[in-house]
Amino acid sequence: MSLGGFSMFDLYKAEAEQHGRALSDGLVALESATDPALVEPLMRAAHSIKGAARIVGFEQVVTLAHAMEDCLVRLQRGQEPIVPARVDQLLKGTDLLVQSAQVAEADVPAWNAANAGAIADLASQLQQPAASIADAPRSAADILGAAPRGPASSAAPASASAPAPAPTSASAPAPAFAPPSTDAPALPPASTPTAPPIDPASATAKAITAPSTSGTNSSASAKMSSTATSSSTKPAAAESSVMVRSRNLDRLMRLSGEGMVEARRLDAMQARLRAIRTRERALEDLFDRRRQRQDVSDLDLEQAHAAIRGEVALLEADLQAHLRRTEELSTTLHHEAIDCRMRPFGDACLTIPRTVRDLARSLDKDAAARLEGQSVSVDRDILRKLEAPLTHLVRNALDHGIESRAERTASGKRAQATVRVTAVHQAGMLVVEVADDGRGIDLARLRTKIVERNLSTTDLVARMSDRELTDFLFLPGFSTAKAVTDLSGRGVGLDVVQTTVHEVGGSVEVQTELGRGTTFRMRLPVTLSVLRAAIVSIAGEPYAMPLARMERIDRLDHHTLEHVEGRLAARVNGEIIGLVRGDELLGVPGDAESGALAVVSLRTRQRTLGVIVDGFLGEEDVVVQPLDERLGTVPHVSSASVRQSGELVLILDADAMAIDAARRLDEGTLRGAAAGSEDARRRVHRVLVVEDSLTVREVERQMLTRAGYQVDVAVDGLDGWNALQRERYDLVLSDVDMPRMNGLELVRRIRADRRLSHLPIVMVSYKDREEDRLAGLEAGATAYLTKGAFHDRTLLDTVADLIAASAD
Amino acid sequence: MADPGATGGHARTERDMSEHRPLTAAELEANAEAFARIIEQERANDVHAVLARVGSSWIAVPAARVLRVTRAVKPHRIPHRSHRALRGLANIEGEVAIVMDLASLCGFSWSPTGDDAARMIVLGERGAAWAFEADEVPGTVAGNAQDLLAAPLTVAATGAGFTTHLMPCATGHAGILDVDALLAACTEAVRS
Repeated sequence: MSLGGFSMFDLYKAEAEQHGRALSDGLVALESATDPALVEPLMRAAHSIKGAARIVGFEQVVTLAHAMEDCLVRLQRGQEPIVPARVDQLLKGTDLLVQSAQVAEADVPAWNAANAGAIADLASQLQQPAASIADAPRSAADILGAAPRGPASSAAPASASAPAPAPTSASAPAPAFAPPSTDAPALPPASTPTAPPIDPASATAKAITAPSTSGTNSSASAKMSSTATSSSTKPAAAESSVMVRSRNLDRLMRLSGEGMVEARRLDAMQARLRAIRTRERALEDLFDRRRQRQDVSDLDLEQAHAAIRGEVALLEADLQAHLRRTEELSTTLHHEAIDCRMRPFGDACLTIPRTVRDLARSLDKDAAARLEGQSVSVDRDILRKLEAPLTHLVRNALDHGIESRAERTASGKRAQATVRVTAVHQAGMLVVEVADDGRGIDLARLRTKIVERNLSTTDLVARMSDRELTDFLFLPGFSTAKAVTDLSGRGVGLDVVQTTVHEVGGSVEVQTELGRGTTFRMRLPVTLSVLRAAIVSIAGEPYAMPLARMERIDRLDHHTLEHVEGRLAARVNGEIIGLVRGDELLGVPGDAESGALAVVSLRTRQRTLGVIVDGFLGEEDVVVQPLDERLGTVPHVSSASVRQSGELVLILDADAMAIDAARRLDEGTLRGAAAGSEDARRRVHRVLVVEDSLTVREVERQMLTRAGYQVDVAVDGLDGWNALQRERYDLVLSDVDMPRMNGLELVRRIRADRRLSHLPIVMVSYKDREEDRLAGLEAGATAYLTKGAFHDRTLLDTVADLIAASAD
Repeated sequence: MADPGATGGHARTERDMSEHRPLTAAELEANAEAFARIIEQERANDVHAVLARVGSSWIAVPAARVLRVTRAVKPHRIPHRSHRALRGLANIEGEVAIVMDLASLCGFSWSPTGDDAARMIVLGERGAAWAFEADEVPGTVAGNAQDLLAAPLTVAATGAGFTTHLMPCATGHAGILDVDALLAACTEAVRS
């Protein structure tokens, strides 16, 4: 049976997923509020799933949903109190319902068979009176089944370390089923095992209590795996489909309609062009007749010409309007298309309140999740990848960060801890934070640990910044937990978080305060199809560096350069960093002699490395295009893009560059930039300062000298002019109002001199009116700055840019 | 195949035309067939090529294999790839193409002048295009297969070149490029 391309079963799945989510969220809310009024929507949800399951013949789901509905009715009528143990049972039921939505239609009989026992147990427990339910916290192993690494990896430790719960009575904790694994729903159907993920730990427990059930269970799972194999040979849905908000689709339709209308305007323009042609021919006729000495007056010619001019003007106006509209339209269309890829951040947080609640209960802690920025738009691919790291960080916060109730009360904190998950757009990036108000990371203990593990020396760790220290947490196999618990502390996880975040071009860092809490901050691109990048020039060619992965870019001043063992180093942000040449690192020999020098700082595992590039060309949004497959893997290059100017730009993988540079420096196949050669390359540039005010002159001289320029001064225009006759300069910095010869006159003279006509001139004045600026530029100044430029880097940057540009 | 009907039809056409009688459908068809056969025969012997100059050599690229000819752009070098024949990547009308150096593939040294006459010849398939720089691409050239000459021994025997034959053109002779062999060499070059 098919309804508009969807089978009945597809509709069931959609319904079970939607109502299952409502149940899960609602039950968690119900537990904290214990308000019977909250039960009604849950009853409806269970009822709807029951109805839908009956239509597709999912009999076990019908049984379960029916039992849950009954139980919810009792809660609503106040026939029994709302206790956490009851909510636990209902949540288990919900998990099964949600699982059922993942099952392929062909595997329904197998699923029914496999879960019949568990569902019967759960249904009978749901019918037990509330009084008989022991309000025991669930074992950690129950929840562990949902660890992101999947049931297979958790099987061994869970069955080895978690003793099976003692089978005391019928009300003993039911065989636990894994809550929906956080990454499972995100997997495409082809790779999702069709068999429901049965928690191995609980399977072991069942084997002890009821061998017979376990027998059927294992045979059922064997059967299921065989059906799984057979179903995987079926062609999977060839094309994946995605959900797009109808609002987006409407806008796309409207924009494409506008595009069509806009294209039709070209017809009108073509007609106008034809009219021009006709008039042009008429004019040609007139010329011919005139040549033949026929009676053609000047007026005739002028009129014909005026007619053409009129038509051309109209065509020009039409064309300009068309160009403007087309540009606007295509930009909007592009943004709208990108927007279609977006989903609200909240989609990645669906399971978080539940995870926090379940884990806190199992660890006997009190914690609540607080979600902020749920409506923030995120690229759907990033969102999908974000789920696993997010869940891991939340688990991490609960296990390591948050203290027990007693500990919290003793240190004067609220008994209930908060795990805050927030998302915001910041400077073109998506910033996601997972913050807890727990005990924080003990950096002293971290230092000891780093030394114990032989990862660094005592001296070095003592000098490391907080950030450098916390970076060790992301090393594979590095764990600070005193004891390996079932939940975390096994050293797997944080490195996985980092790897996943890096895969999408993001970064992750930790901020912590002892006794106050820890915040993990992930900076991610908003979309994978467009990157915000700094465009730098290396060996004369443009490269894009994703802003997310770059520490900073600095224009290099001479006074910040140091020589260490004949190698160049730069003082950046209070740290002396080693420099390597970008062209050498990328294996593209540079021949472009460039005056300016910029340094891109990259972080290797513990240290910062500076890569010398020719210059910084600006910041742009670049549309990512995959690199041609025929090229295979190109080290350090992740993709390509075409800039607005039409120029091709290669997008660099800053991480790979940093790691590779560190490795090659170790091996000796890459050397730091040599000090001597660099100095030779960077001839000291000479600047002439022309200024009548002693104070201003002195300020300018000092600023430029500090920045590494050789500075000469002149007290007025004429003095400056004379200096220019004697010496060669790379740039002139001049005031406007001066005695004897003012700045404008000086500039005009320089421009009139063939030898000096290309010399960059910066005018600096207190006059900040537009007409003053224009007067300066009209006289021939290259740049016009007001004296406010002294307060920031504007003056120095302008000087550096102009000298670099004139060197090119 | 002898077809007296066609010739007859043709002959009758001339006479009938003078009589201003409209042609019958059968006559029209017979005429069309006769013309088509002649054109087909001529076409089978024709060689159509895009003529390009690389340094002092003229090259004829079979026209059917040319995707487009565009204004030359400076290719962007590819880090860590130093094969002499791989010039880099370029944006050619919105598509990123791999730019190869025809001269170094053929084994002679040349560097593009990069002046206004310089062009890029794009070969291969859409989405997997190869671009080659040339100093100029004055247009296409057509010739008859009978007029082709064998490539000189110095080119043909070395096995390095891609010239199958030479065809006459305004400036002398242009080497007809074996596009398949050339593209195979390109694929080989980008892998290393």
